[in-house]
Amino acid sequence: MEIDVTNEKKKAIDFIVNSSSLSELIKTETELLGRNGLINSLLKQLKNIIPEKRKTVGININALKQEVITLINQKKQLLSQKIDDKNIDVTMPGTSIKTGTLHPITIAITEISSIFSKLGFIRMSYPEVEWEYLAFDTLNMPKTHPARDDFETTFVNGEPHPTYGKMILTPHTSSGQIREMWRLKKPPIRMINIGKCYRPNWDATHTPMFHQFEGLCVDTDINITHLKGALDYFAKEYFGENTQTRLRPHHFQFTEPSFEVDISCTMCQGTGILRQSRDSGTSQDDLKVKCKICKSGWLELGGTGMVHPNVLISGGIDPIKYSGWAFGFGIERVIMMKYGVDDIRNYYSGDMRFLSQF
Amino acid sequence: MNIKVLHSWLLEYLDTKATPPQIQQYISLCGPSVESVEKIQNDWLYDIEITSNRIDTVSVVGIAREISTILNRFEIPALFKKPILLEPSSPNNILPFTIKDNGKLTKRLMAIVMDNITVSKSPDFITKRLEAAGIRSLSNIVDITNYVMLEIGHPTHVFDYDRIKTNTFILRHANKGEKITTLDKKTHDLYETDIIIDDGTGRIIDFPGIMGTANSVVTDKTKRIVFFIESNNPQAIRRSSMKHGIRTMAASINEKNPHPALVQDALFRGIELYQTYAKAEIASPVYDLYPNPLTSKKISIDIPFIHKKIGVPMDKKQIISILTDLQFEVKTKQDNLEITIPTFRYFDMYEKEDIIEEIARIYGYHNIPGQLPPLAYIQQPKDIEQIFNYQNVIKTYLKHQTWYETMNYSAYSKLLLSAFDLKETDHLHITNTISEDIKYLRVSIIPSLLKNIKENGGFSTDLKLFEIAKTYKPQKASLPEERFKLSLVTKGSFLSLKGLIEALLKELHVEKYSFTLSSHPFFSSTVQAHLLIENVVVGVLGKVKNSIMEHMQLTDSVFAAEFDFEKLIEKARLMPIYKPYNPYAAIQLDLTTPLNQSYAKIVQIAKESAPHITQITLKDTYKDNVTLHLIFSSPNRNYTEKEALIELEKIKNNILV
Repeated sequence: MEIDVTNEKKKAIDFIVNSSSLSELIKTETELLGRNGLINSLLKQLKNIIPEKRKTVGININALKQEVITLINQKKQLLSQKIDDKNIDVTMPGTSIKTGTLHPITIAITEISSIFSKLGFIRMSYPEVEWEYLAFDTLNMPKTHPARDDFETTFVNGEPHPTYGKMILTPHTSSGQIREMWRLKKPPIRMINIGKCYRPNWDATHTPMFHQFEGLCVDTDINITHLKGALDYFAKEYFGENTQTRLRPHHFQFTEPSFEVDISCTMCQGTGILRQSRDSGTSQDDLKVKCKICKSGWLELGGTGMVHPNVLISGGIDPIKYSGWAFGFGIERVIMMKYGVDDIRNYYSGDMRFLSQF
Repeated sequence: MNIKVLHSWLLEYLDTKATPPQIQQYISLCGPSVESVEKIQNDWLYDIEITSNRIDTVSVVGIAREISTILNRFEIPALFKKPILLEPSSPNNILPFTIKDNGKLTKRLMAIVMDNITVSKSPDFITKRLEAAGIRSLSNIVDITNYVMLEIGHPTHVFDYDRIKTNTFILRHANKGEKITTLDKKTHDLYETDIIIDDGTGRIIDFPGIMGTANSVVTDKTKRIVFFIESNNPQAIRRSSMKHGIRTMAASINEKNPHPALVQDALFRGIELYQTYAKAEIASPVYDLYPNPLTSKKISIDIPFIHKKIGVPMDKKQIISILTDLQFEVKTKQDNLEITIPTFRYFDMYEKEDIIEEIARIYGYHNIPGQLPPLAYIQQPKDIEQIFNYQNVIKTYLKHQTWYETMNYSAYSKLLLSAFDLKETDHLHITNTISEDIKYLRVSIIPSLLKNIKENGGFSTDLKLFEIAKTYKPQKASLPEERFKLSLVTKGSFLSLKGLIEALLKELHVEKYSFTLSSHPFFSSTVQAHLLIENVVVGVLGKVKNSIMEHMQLTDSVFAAEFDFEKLIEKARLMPIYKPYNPYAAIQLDLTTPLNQSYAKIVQIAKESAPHITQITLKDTYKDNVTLHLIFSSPNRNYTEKEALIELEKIKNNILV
């Protein structure tokens, strides 16, 4: 019996060339190269060929197989090119999908909570309407102390408490310190209290309501190194890993020692100088302008210190066995330092031109 | 408070080659914050913040002392030149005067009479230094009182001797009904807590520690003066100063408790200046009433305690050196230090922690290393964790449904609450608000959101706003109940708002909820509904009623919703309850039927009529008809179309009945 490979080859080529679509071509591919396809049936018929001619025919069939494979691949490519759409303008906007926005304070709170949760700090929420006692007296600020001046207070008309004094809107999240100490009764304490605070001021850098976040860490053997470490960690996480921090002496009634903490200016990278290029090709001609937003390369972040023993005592915690650190920063302020959002009144104006930016 | 000091003045008490910018840098790191240092001609002006606990630095001498201690730590040589204050010589003739403080209202009282006064302009250096500090230069005799206050750090006063005919100074509390006319020509009604000086006839001649009076003040005709310095009760000073609104520099210093030892320093320095620049002659012995001189204060502290609090194992020698630099005397006994506090730090050093602060700041906070606090597991209360977690989930979801988050002030105006027919008496309010716009603590967020809609008039017809915030419900004999609310407003439609809420509930995997007609006063009586989750009312939504829209001058319809946040999330789940899917084929059929009863009723009839229904969804509405999409299946075999059609007929019939 004879196998006319040449004839089969012609037929196969015809099939391939005449395939006008990829799906037709794939059908052809199966018919030629499939399990029950042409090539395999030709190979099966080899046993009917006389032994002397078997080798040659076999070689020819395999050569045909290789040719078919090559031709099919070429045809595939050709057909794929034809299926491509006509040229489109890739700069045209895609189908638009609308979204709303989150408030920048919400975004900052999420970021800040996450930074501290990595250190094991839990976020708590405490009353905004508070007793004077918890906002001042327990924080080592008796009524007659001049330091109470610094916190101009927003009073509320609720009935005063026999022990806790007048009802106020809390001027700082520090009232949460005492409440957390009362809640846990005993260290370890790792708290972040984020909440609304109220002071009667309204101008470009003050609103009568604003947000603060307060950190409190109380345990055995907590010292200044732990405060420094935590502040440095926060500054690098929030502002960038090249951010430096420094502590300066200050005074708060509820901490001893007390500090103000600065970060290296985000604008001028802590140099105090902004360079403005004059396009002369060398940096020597750059205009050196004093950085307007910082003080010699440092930006004030907020207040901090080691918890005053009287505060621990008010919280029902033994100041001999335990010590702690605390800090309080304004959220609008850190957003301003990181992102440049300036006029603070924008945050609570409800103006869509502001909100829709985020 | 801040003080402004010229560098040239500082150099009278400080010997150093450090430049003013260097001084600013080093001092701010270890001591008072030098907010700025400005070059003024060939001098420099420091603007220094004085914290209320360091009243000892409110003077040129105090600052010089602090600077010398700190510069030396940075190995910049600096020498503090203590002021040399000599006791005045004996008087040639004596002009009499009497001082009485029977109520022990002052801690110390010193005075002296001086004669032969020549009133004139102050010498240049005095004028320059006062004006740089922000104090007006008037005449030599007035200026010297202020100059001494700035230099030594204790307020002083001077009387015209001849204007006090009785030569008597009696310290007492004011009586009800008494008045005082201060130097600035203002008259004040006095309180019984105010301390004043009476000349023996009932006439008030001074408001000590706060401000002088018009009737006893020196003039350019003054020939003889009483130079008078008292150490006041700081609480009394603060109370009087705040109540009357008289915030002089003297009051600001006196309320922060300067040490009585400074009274003598100030007196002697003033005498010297009057002799030099006003040709004054001593006309009395120095009067000193100091019944209870403050004894020295000692604080005992152990070296291990210092190491523990600072976290740096500083060696004993270094600790002692820092303390002695600060002029603290140290007596050591092995690991214990007995520290004697100098007079000028008497009122801000009380306990061991105060010593720690002194050591640490002079050692340099920049020299203390940092390490993270040790890890400890504190369990966040579950309810709080849920609130914060779901606030994020819901806010993010709403954002992606094209809603905008807003934050408003926690209080609104009377005008706004009355537009909503709310009662002032149902609210707590701020008694000292700085604006009538933010007076009543909110009991609902919706009024604020409607205000936002109004104020964004030009922005968009499709404004969708939400806010999650606390409302404050007054409670008897207790702080108000603060609960988070989720509130939304939109100009779309009732169904678009309802659809969003249903989608939100799906996102929260809340399954058993329903809506029923409600009667909330904010909304149109026919277009509003309660949301119930497992039969508990969780919130309300509806079309804001016309009377409110008119009050707010809004024309396009507004739809709003408000939910108690905790109740809303109570049944929320991260994952729904898993139901294994049906592997058998299901039949899907549509049914169009007239809405002859409520949608919920029709669905109920369908479910009851056809036991094999597994899902009913609303496909379309047209006029008074609804098209439902029904899915029929069986859990254990392929359900057939024939069977489904039979059940469909049953449904049709039962609906039309």
